[in-house]
Amino acid sequence: MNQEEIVLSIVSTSLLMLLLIVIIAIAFVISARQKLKQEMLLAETKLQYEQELRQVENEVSEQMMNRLSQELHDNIGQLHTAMHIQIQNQKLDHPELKERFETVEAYLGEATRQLKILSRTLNYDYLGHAGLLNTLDIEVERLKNLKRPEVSFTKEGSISPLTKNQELVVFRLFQEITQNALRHSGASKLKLSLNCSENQFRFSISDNGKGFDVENTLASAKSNGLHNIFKRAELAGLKIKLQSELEKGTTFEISKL
Amino acid sequence: MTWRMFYESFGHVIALIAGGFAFTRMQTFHKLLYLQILLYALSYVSSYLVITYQRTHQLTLNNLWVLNSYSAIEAACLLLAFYTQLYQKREKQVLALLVLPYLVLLLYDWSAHSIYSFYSLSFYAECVLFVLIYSYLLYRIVHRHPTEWKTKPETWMVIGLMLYYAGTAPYMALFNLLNQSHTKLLYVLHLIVNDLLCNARYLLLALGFWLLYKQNKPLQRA
Repeated sequence: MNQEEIVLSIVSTSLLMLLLIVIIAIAFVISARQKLKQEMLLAETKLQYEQELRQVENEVSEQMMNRLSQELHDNIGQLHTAMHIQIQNQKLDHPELKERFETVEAYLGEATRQLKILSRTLNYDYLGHAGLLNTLDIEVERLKNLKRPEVSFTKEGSISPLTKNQELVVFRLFQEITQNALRHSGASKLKLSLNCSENQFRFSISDNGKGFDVENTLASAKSNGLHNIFKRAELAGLKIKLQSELEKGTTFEISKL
Repeated sequence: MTWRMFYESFGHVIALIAGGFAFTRMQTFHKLLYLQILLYALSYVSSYLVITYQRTHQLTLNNLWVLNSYSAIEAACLLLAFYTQLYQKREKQVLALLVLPYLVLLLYDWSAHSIYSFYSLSFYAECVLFVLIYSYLLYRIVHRHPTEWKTKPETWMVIGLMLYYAGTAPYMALFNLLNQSHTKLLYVLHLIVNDLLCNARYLLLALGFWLLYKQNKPLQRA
């Protein structure tokens, strides 16, 4: 073997080795990209599955609420009507007891009104038909009737940019948030503020209750309800901003993504 | 400074400077690679001094014992650097298994050959070992950061090491043979294989250090 052949063989072997390293590096990059694509696809499928699951849950829940609403309207409502007629008859039969019956009648009238409001807010069809803004008015009216907490509602704009599904989610989230505030916060004031136009939607729900540590609560095992609120909003294309300070209160802000 | 000294060391000097800038942002992995560069500088200067001394005292010119000693220390540095990137017990066990043949061959070279001849067998094993383990590290970096691997300093450092060890393996394996019969050829091959790849290796290390320097905060482990 002459010198040229030795040089050539060593250099070519070295070049082959270098080529091998380059091929290995390229193969790693390609496989990493494919893995990333698969992971993204998997994440998309998972998200889609979660959305479908949430949709089914919503449908089941809405059906149950609709049924409850119908039951309140058709059954309890009819009983109320029967009681009204009965009281009217009693008033005619016993004019001397008219004043006593009027008090009972007033209470019954208030109960019927409240029942009607509750029935409407439970009914998806009503929400779909009347729209979010009107249904919110009804729900706020119902909350105001509870006397405590003191509820204030400011509304700017009269056009909702949300889809029907988003409106339903906003309304249910609002119900859940206010229920939580009523049950746990000990708030004396509930401040609602809605700002909506063709392009933007911002709905803020604030209370002056005892508040909580957001990070710790989200990390604890007791935060299922809170996580659920975030998840439902996210899947419906909504964003929730939560701020809470101990002894100062809590604010939820729902906006369109 | 002769042109050859410049050619042999310019990549290395750039890596030293880049490493100096990035030193405060280095983690153990980077520091060990930087230490290896410093040791290389030390061995280069030592080899030069040894040859100069031998030449002035008209002794036989041979500085291979410096190269042999440095090779073992370099291997230790690079193994330690790789070890800092291992988190699982199984990975460490596999590393121990891979290091074993290298250690056996190194012991064989020590016992069977004079320190004045190059330990080509153990160096060849070192090449195979480093190509294997740093390929694994490259695989892990690219898979953990599939979109940002290009900006990871470790990517370029690892590629530099892999290219050097894969490219010099054939030349180093035949080093003793060429040293005995084709000394001039060895010189030529040293220039076009070893020095070229050495520059590529240290320039890629310098690129890694530069990327590290550009990072705003210390990096997490690769």
